[in-house]
Amino acid sequence: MEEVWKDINLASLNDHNTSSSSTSSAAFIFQDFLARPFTINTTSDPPPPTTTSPSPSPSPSLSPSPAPPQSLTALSLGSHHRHINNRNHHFHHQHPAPPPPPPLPPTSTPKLPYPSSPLFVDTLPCSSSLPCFPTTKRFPEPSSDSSPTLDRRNKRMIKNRESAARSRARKQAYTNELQLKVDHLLEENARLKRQQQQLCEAAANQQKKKSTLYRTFTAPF
Amino acid sequence: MPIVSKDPLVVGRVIGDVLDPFENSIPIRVTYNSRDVCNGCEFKPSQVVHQPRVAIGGDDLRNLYTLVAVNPDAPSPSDPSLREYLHWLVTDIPATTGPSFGNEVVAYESPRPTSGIHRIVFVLFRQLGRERVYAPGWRQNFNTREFAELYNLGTPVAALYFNIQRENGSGGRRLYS
Repeated sequence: MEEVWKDINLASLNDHNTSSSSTSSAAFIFQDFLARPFTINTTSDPPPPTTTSPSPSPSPSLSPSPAPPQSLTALSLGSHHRHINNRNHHFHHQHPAPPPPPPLPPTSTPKLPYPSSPLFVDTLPCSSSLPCFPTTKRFPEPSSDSSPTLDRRNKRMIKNRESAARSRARKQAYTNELQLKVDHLLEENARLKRQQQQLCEAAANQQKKKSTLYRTFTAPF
Repeated sequence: MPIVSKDPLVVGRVIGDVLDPFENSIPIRVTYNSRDVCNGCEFKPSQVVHQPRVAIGGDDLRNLYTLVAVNPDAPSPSDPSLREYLHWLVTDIPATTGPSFGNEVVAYESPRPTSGIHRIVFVLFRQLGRERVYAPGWRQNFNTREFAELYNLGTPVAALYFNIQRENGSGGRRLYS
């Protein structure tokens, strides 16, 4: 799990460095975050199917095939990629009307490495039936085709998450600091008390011995 | 289970956003109007208008230190495009003294955040020798790591940070006064 977040952070660093001009870049980056951990496992994938997309004969064969592979239990690469394809497609609403969804038989599901260019969108099938992906709470997806509102909502959600994380970190950091201070002060307190007691005893002992006045500093005896 | 650090500098992401992990070797004490700064405590802009008193530890007066104060959350923590904003830069501070005995390269500018809760980070470096330090052309987009590398300052010897938001800001829970 930590690797996922590490990758997300790495991805965010990379993406912050590269200037992104398109308005969909923020959403795209979000999708990148989600997809990159998956792509790491798919090192031997063929190049994106911009040229190899199946012929645009819009046979509605999508509905039966996507349903089983896209359940959470089937965490196969193919299903994930198709799933990611769907999500990515939704976020690229700015592009002109996508071609009618080409059929995507499960066997020839392109095992796509997640490309960094928005060309990807043109080949994505658009599945109207959303997969039954139970973790929608964590990575919720638009229930319909992408729209500016949903885009904004998602951006807002990400920002809110980051803000919440910062807030938690702030609180935790302060608590830790206070804890350190408390420990430090308790230690110092104990030390000072011991020191004071020692000095008291020393003073008391000295008083017992010295019942009469006599020189101490001017002569060693 | 990854190694979870409890160091406030790590949890508060100061180590990460501004600095790399380091060993704290010199005590530093920053005081605004007789209120000490502790990691993660909150100050209001009205409390940090004038430069703080800074007391540096160490024992050898011949060691010189550089103090840097930056804001990594400028202009807003959710979009820190001006990270890091340089608030103060003083060099040639002898050990056991303070910035008033050093050479102020960039004058103290009081933090006045407009949006969000910002961190103001004080970083102390030990200098190898007395070296001419040139002020950057502008305060924003300062990079403490690069600055340290440029002047051979090595890793920090101390760091401290506090939080600050707009004077009448309402962010954050009321954990502290």
